[in-house]
Amino acid sequence: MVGSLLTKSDFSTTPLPASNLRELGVDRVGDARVLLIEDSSFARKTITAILSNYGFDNLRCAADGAEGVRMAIEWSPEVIITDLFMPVKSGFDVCKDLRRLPEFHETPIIVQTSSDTPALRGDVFEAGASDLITKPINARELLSRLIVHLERIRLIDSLKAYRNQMREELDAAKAMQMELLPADNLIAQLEQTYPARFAWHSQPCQGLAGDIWDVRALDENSIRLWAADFTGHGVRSALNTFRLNTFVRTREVNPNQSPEDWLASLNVFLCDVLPLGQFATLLCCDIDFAAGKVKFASAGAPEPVLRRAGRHELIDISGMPIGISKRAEFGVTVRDMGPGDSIFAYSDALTETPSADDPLFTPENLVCSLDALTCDLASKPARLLSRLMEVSEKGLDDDLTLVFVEWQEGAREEV
Amino acid sequence: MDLTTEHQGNQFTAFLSGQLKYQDNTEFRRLIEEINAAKVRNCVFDLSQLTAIDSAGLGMLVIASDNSETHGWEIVLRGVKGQVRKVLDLSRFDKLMTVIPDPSGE
Repeated sequence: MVGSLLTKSDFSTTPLPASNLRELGVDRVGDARVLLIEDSSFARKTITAILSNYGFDNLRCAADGAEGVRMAIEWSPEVIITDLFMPVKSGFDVCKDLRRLPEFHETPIIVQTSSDTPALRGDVFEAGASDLITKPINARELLSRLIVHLERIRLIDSLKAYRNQMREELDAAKAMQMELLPADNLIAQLEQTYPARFAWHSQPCQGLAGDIWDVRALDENSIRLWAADFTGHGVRSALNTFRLNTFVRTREVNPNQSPEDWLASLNVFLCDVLPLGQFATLLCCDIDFAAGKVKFASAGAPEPVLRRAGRHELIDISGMPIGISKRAEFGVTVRDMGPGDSIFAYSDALTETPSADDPLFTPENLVCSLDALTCDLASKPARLLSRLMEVSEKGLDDDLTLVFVEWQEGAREEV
Repeated sequence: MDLTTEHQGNQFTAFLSGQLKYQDNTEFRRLIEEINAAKVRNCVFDLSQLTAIDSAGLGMLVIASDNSETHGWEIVLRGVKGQVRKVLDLSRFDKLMTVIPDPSGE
């Protein structure tokens, strides 16, 4: 159907309004690919004239619905303007055909029609149209709607691209962070050298974690296990785990340095590099398989659990988190340990889920739960995790680290 | 966190209730500025209605402690109990500021 009501002002030489969404990646819209599907050559000429007058110079036309669908598939227009009643294929079918294709799920389709009843409007939108304008075409209305749809679709594209880029970068960063944790071959090597077995689980709550743990040989008889948790979670805390890891790895292991002195050296380093208000809690356990002793030093970490002769107990140890004050001092607690005994270190997500003031595991009932957890060592982290997930349907609010190290029974004489 | 404050002469009291978490960062910093501006000698953080604190909350207390040193006011945490007390004990915050447990002994 033909129809156009043009006034002199429709052909003013006003340039296309500059987009105010430039910062979000939406720049000028005049270069947009616009497909016009219209059977009337007069209407095609009129609309083409209107749009080119406003600076749209990338316009293609189809004379019926079938040609329009074909051109849309070949050319991937950013916006489609279509008439409703046309030979071969109607505007309804153009909408339905294109919406069936995933690449056209979000393409704006503006339908123009001269009959405007509520029922028809409903049918048009149900067929998949994004917008509807009535004939006779008002040039400025057409322009305004075109720009709104173009800006919207370009904004969505720009946000999608940004999100994808962020996801890729976070995935890469996450892979780098996983490399900070003990590799399987390192664990296997330690399990061959010492009478120790490990079972662990690390889970960031937001892609990147503020938790980190490691285990290293101190000398031929002893190993050092440590687990740290930086304030907050996400990117900022994760960057701090890299700082700490670099500091620890670039210093030679000194088997004569006690765990509390080691904590003090980390504290001085973090006090120098961390901004005010950021810090880490850290637990250090040095296990000496020859002496049958374990030394614990803590910087505000959740109290570790020692299983001794089949019974679990919390190790009552405290200390100021590292990175707060250079005046902080750290103590040490020494316990006997032997074959069959084990140590459990964990981050506070375990004892603060689903909420810190009403957790599933308080430190005290964690001990009872561990007494009752009679499965093999390798299954323990997963068993605890599944219990946590039962009470936190939306996932954890904080990064989770669970590390068990067990002195293998009957292996003492191998040391 | 919910917050109410009292300021009388040289004494400033901040009553914190609910949970002190990362989301309270902005409001807590504003509170510290308010205390600095009040030019008081003592500031009591009444935590008797505070049910939980996370590591970011501890970080805010560290910032408060730092400000108290630079602006010359004493910081006292009063009425600590429950999870808040456990976390402060574990982190030895008594070395940084005066910590007075709730008399109920929770």
